[in-house]
Amino acid sequence: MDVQQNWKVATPFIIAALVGAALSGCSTSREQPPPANADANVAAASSAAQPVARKTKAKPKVTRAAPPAEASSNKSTATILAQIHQANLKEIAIGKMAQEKASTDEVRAYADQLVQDHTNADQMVVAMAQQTGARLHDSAAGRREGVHGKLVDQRLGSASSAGFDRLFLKQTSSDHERLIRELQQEREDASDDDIEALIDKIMLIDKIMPILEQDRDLAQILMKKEQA
Amino acid sequence: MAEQSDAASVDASAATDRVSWGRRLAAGIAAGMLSAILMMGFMMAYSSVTGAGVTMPLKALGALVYGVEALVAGSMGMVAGAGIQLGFSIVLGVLFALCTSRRTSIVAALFAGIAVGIAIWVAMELVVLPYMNPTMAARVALMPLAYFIAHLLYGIGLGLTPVFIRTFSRKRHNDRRVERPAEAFTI
Repeated sequence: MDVQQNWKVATPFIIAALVGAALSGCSTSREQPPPANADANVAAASSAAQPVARKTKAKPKVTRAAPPAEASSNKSTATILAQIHQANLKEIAIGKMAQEKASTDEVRAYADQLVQDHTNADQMVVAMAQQTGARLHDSAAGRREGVHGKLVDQRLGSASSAGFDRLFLKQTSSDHERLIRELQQEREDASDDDIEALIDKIMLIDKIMPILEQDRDLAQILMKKEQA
Repeated sequence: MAEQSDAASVDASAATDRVSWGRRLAAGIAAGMLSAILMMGFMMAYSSVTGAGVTMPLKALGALVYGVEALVAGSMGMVAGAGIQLGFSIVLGVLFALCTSRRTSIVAALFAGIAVGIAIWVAMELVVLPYMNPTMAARVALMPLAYFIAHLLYGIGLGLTPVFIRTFSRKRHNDRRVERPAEAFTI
């Protein structure tokens, strides 16, 4: 009997405590995370609100944990930017060489177009790198492209005028093909905690990709014409 | 007597409002050419500044005919692009001129012209570029704001149609004035 009476007495308090906890939980889930000085208020809160206090304390931990996520997103964005930047520099250099050495008007016009497209694309990449604080030059991709680029320069430089056109078109076609494949892969695998960085990255790829595809298509069309 | 004079003044004002089809056509052509020059001039200047090349807008428009090869087609691609721009602008200018009169206020015409420019921009972005000219779509994607401003300039050019109508009809009015004294003299 005593136990039953005790339950009867305790039941309203238990219900009241549950309702109070539920209401406080709802209110904190809708509100914005508290500012930094809210820790003092949280410490002064009652023991019934302790779960809430744990939640609010956990928020700053998430924001403190954010820098590594941001850094990783910046790193991946920086890698892509450096990759595109190096490709742009390489194509501009090859294009300028072709402007002087190409034997037909069409190939020379293609070289002009290549230089213009990659100059334009590079301006966009450099602007984005400045926004995100990414460094464009000291990347492994850049060093690899640099070594590879020198070999390509040597081969193109030593080619005769008729052979130059063929080599130039083949080189630009394969370069674009490779970059397109890499960027497509990057776009498919794109995932980031920083949604803004992710959107910027995808938008950049989406803007550059059609131009790369058109440059590749043009190189292939001109190669077919050369062969014919 | 007063009624006769009122009727005469109404007839006179109606006569001055009436603009011949030829004058309207000329005004429409002039406004269309002006809007095309404004739009293409702005795009070419912008492309030149950004490093895309001064002829890029013409070549990109020419891709509607030659496809991606317009980029290396040289003067043919550019002539095609200029022809498309001028032809479309003149047709639209004439249509706009048919809808306006000497009495149309310039402010209203400018608003209407800008609305037409924005409507064309929407149609280009949603239908023409993605489905009919992907070469141009790729280039325009790099300069979206400039492309929108170019359409506003196009609209402003169209909005100046009433000015051309007034100019041309004023010229006709002045011609008649010169003719009248001679007629009076012969009578």
